[in-house]
Amino acid sequence: MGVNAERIIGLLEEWLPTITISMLILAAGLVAAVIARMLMRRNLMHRLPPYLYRPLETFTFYSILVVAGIAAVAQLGVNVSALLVAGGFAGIVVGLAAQNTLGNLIAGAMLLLEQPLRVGDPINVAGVSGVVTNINMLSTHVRTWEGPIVRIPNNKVFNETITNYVRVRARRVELTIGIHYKSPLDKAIETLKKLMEDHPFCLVNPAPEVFVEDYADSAVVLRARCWAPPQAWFATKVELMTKAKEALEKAGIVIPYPQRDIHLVTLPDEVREALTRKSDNSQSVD
Amino acid sequence: MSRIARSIPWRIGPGDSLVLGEARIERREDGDVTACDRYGCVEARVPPYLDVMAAPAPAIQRLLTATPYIYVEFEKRVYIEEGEDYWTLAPIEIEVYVRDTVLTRLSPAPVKFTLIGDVVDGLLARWFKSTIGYDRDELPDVEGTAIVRFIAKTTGVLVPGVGFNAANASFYAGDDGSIYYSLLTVEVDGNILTAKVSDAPPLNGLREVIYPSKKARLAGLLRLMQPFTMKVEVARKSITTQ
Repeated sequence: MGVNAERIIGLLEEWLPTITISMLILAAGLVAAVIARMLMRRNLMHRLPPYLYRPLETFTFYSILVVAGIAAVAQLGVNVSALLVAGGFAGIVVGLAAQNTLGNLIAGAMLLLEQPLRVGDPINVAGVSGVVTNINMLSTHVRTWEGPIVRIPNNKVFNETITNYVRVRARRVELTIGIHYKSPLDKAIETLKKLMEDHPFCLVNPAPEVFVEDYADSAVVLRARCWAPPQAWFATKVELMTKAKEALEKAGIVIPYPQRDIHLVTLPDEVREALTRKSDNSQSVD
Repeated sequence: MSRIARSIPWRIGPGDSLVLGEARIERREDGDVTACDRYGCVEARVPPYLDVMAAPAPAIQRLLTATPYIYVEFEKRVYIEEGEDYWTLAPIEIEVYVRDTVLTRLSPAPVKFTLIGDVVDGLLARWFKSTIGYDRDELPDVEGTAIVRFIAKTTGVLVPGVGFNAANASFYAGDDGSIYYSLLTVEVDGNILTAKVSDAPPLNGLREVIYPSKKARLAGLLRLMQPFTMKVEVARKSITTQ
């Protein structure tokens, strides 16, 4: 008992300073990583777009932690090279056990490299539509149009078809409007074209266009198109949809309800009598 | 324009007003300010002992901050010659501020955008139509615009318009209250026109106007340095045979 206590005390005396220094290195590394991330966020947030500064700060944070971890382990007298080799084998074992997690990690790195989507982009991926709020190492967070935030594993994001609505310079706004057959077609086309030409977000080039799309049952269907900056696409569509009715009505163009014309034909007397007779005969047989 | 409009940046004290094109800034005696353009109004309570200021700023933020480029389409295409200089007008915005705090930006002219080139890799630019002249005096007096002078560095090109990266541009004011964008140089290589913005004033004797957003941007890490580029028609030399 006494020998054991002495041994423990001996070991502690031998190792305590080293362990303390290692812990201090780790703690200092953690503090440095947190401070670096805080400083980066404070200084870069207003100068760089989120898709640039967030990966940068994440990379810096984890790099400092890894360096501090290696320094702490080296302080304990562990051979870092051997540890890295052992880590390689351990990595294979852990990798097999955590295939999905690693897949997400690699997909996250690929997403950051390829950047098919960035924080702030309106997108549609894996059936989820909304704005990207965060891309971290394991998952991508999307705020849907209705509000909730959906977390999608990076693996899934990377392997799915991604529709990015702002990675083009312009996006087409389309309106489909039916006008009455008796309304003047030229005037309707001119009115819709002017509406789009006057709208600040309808681009001058490619120029807005209006054409007849269909001669439908109740209306002549017109299609109006203009290109708008992708950031303003929804606002442009909503405004044009709202103002189109007012502009057409002001120009005397009628937007019809669905309708069916019924033509009542008056039959000659002899035909009507013959039909009545036929009807009476069939009733008497019954 | 009201009586205060010649000194730039414009100082709008209680009871003053400033009208530039469709932009209108009014200050009541109690200091409250109302700033309007065709797209809306902003109201703010400002103590009467503080000056509300207004300064010209590049027309790239009002309604939508989507592009740093301004494209001026000429009413007639112009054939440019190396070493010649050309004068046109470009839109501006009015930045309304108190000390260094921006209250709003107003557009004295209607806002329109255009696409230069392809939908995928073209350039989105704020659009404006203007005359082009060989001399500053040829330009009409249009309120809410700034004068642009560009020097051609290539001969034999028919140019439908000129664009520039307005985020890099500076503003200069003349004693007569006229506003200028900094000098542009236009060069054509192959069929690609490149317009570069310099920091130089277009004329000697002009005074630089600094607006608060510019100060903030200069302190920023990222200055958008990409010059404006577009495809143009290059005049072909006729081949004669003897």
